Amino acid sequence: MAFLSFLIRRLGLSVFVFVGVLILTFIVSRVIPSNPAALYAGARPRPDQVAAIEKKLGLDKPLVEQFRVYVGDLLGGDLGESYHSRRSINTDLRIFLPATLELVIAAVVIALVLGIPIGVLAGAYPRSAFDYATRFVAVAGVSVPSFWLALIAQFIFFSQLGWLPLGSRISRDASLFYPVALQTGFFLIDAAISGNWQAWLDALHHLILPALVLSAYPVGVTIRMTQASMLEVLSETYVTAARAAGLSQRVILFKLALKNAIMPTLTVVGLSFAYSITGAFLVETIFSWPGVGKYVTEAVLNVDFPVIIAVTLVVTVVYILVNLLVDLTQAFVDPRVRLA
Amino acid sequence: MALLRVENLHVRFKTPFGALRALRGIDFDLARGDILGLVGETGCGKSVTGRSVMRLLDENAAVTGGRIFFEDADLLRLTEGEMHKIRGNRIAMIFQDPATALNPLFTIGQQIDDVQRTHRAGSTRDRRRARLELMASVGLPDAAQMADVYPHQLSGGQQQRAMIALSLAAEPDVIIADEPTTALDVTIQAQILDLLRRLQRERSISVVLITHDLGIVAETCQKVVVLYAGRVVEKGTVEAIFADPQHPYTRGLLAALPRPGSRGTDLKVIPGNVPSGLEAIDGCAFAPRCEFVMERCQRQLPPLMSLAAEHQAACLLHEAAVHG
Amino acid sequence: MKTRPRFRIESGSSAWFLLRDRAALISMAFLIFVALAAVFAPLLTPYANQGRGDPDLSAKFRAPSIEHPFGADGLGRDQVARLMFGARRSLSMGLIVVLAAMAIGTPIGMVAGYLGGWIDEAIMRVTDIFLAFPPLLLAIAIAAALGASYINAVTAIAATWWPWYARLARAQTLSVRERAYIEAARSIGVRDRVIIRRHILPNIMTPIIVQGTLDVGTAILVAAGLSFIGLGTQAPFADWGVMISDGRLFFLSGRWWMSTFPGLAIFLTAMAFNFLGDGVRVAADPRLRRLL
Repeated sequence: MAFLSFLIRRLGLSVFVFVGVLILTFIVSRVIPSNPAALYAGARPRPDQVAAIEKKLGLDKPLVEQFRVYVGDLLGGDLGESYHSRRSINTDLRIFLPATLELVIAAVVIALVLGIPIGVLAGAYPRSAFDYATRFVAVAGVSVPSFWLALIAQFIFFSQLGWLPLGSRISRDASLFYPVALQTGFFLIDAAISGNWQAWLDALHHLILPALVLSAYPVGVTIRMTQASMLEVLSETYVTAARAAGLSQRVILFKLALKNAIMPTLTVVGLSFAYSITGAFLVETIFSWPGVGKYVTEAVLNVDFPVIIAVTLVVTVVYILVNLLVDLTQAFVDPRVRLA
Repeated sequence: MALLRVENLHVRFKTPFGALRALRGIDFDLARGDILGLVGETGCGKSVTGRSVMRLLDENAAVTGGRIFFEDADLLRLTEGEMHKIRGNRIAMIFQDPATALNPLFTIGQQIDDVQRTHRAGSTRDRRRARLELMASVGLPDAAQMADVYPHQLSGGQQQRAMIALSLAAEPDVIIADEPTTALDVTIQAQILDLLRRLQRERSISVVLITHDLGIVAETCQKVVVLYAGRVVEKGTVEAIFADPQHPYTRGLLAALPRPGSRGTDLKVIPGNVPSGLEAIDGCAFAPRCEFVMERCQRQLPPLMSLAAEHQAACLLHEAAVHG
Repeated sequence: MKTRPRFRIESGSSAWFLLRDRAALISMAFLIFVALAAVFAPLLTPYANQGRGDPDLSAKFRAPSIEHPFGADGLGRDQVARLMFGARRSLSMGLIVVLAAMAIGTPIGMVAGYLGGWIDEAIMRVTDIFLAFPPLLLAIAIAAALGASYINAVTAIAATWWPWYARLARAQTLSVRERAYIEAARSIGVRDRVIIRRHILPNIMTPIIVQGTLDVGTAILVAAGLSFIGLGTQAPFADWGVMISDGRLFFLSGRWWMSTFPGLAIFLTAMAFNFLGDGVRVAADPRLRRLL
């Protein structure tokens, strides 16, 4: 029962935030620009183009009416069209969004798999050499500009070592000889579904470097958060009680303490996701990764405002859903939230 | 033969303000089947003594001298691996506030099971049967249901019963109970103390009961050790000490006890503060607060002197009585 | 009681802990060095004009040498001069963003925490909406709406950053609101505005300054990100993000110096702010000192 009311409250918050995000993006696209129509018409528009846009967007009507049309279009699933390519943004995003999500999810997984155990051990042995080294790595991770790290990573792993490809999602050979039949848009999933293992390996090979680069920031954040919350949890009486009961260090750290420490870290999963998206916006161009980041970067260069707003909206909605999921997981982990 | 014997135990804390001498030579014996009360004000070192026995001192604390014998082994010389086989298995611990000593994210059953699995062989089903028996024996009703309940769903008294069940899960010989009733209501306190006494009788477990409350000692213990500023000032049987306290500090503590018929205003409080342990103390630590203080007390550390077969006190007032 | 010499730093005090933190000290020294290089850039380099964007086509793509220790870029501009002039923009972007976010967020948060009720609720829901956007994303949209420029980039980032300070200030205000001296001030009829300014603000400044110190590094990174995709500093001027962007196409073809040095500059500066912020945080919080 308690869980049901928690669920309803949490869903309500998500809906509220979604409406707020709609309003805020509307303000950014229609109220802040001095001449929204010019912005929507792309770089160096002709006056007749601007006039057409003005009419199409209803910019001559009152703001409330404009907002109604704006929301109506969005809820009808129409994100508009790019003023640069004249293509439907919906069609573009269907390809670009999965590409980015595949990359971002890979980065989050790396962040959790590396960050949590390292953070646990650093928290368990404060002031050890490992702790100091870890803190340095964590600070380095959150301080390095991802787009610079991408260049350095390409230099080392492509130019010097030749271990990993320079960029793109899949090699030309693989796309010619073992084309992936697109269903979900996630190459690793689509290739696995169709049993196309050559393409699967090739896609994985291409994913490693950008995912590692993107994970630098979330790895740093995850280590810090886990370390700090472990430090706190390990000073709790129930940990002393577990030691007094003779339980092994492994059980104490990775079972009893970690379950308590993981909750702030779970929040970090949400944050990691956000930071990885941010990183993707900056490094996709460098890795020629055909995702929403590259899409937006090109839109910035072409002054393609509808694309920028549409991507902002869609990616934010994805992030809202991720946070919803994280909070529900939290309720699953903590009986106090579930049963209280 | 004592089951647990603490000899001349010294512990220091590292602080930003210098070394703090928390224990300055503690001695006591715990006989099999006894309940021994470790009494003193906050900061006297009673909890530190308990933690030292478990070898669970905080990182900034270190044992700087003395020995702790359990059966024939010096606990301070055991490896960490050997110590794991002692903790919980031979010597277990109960804490002041069960609400914080139980892990909030695991059910009572899971927490007991962790201890069982660590120290006892046996199938899942055997462990479960033992667990339910144990929970019933500490007075948790509907053990089968209680096992699947999280700590926050229990009352304070039930939590402490669960904590006691947890400490008994591996059938230890000694339980160190650190203020086990301080966080509980008075009526619940009495029930928990009853439970401890019953367990001691039925399972012939020895208990070190750490408390600041002489009333609890009188009700529960056979032996008493009174600590002041990291040293033993008096020890003996409960009868001897309550009938004939010899150290001025013990007398002060007893005078501060509420008696039947007395009102709050009649309580005597010992004036002054406990020394911090940061400054070196040459003589008797209690001297600044003592109404019988002599000039010698400032210089000479009083040793523990036997007054009767099972009664010792560390006070220069009794030197004459013993030697002369 | 002995009287102490007046300027002695007491053992166990916050300043004492900060000065004992070697990482924080080295960071402070590094940041002072970078700040001095930025402020006195015109005096420190013979290539001040190139730092401001003038090309020297004779030195195009010159590799690092004694004359140009960090090499020269595609327009022959000395990279040391570019870095020093870039530092002015990158550092100021980070600082202005954080100060602006603080100046907007702190009063809003204090009002929310102090007044409570529906005002608090409304303000907090608005921060929820802002924080629902992944960082940078909303800033990209706002910067694009305003048009690409240094000042618009700063505005865009600050506009998305203030909710963090509003939340922090609110939480801190809640924790000091019930203190006796504030109750007392209220009971004798001191006006809310005065209580907030005189009694609450000084008591919540420490955590806000700590957060600010930690945030400057991140703000510099975000600002560099905006510049990197072309929404920040515009040619002929450059900040460190722009310099990385300018050099990136040449990076793998042997002209590594163009992106390497500005990248290192951002990296080290952000690290320094993080270490300094951590040091200040630990020094200011006795509870953390025990833990760390």
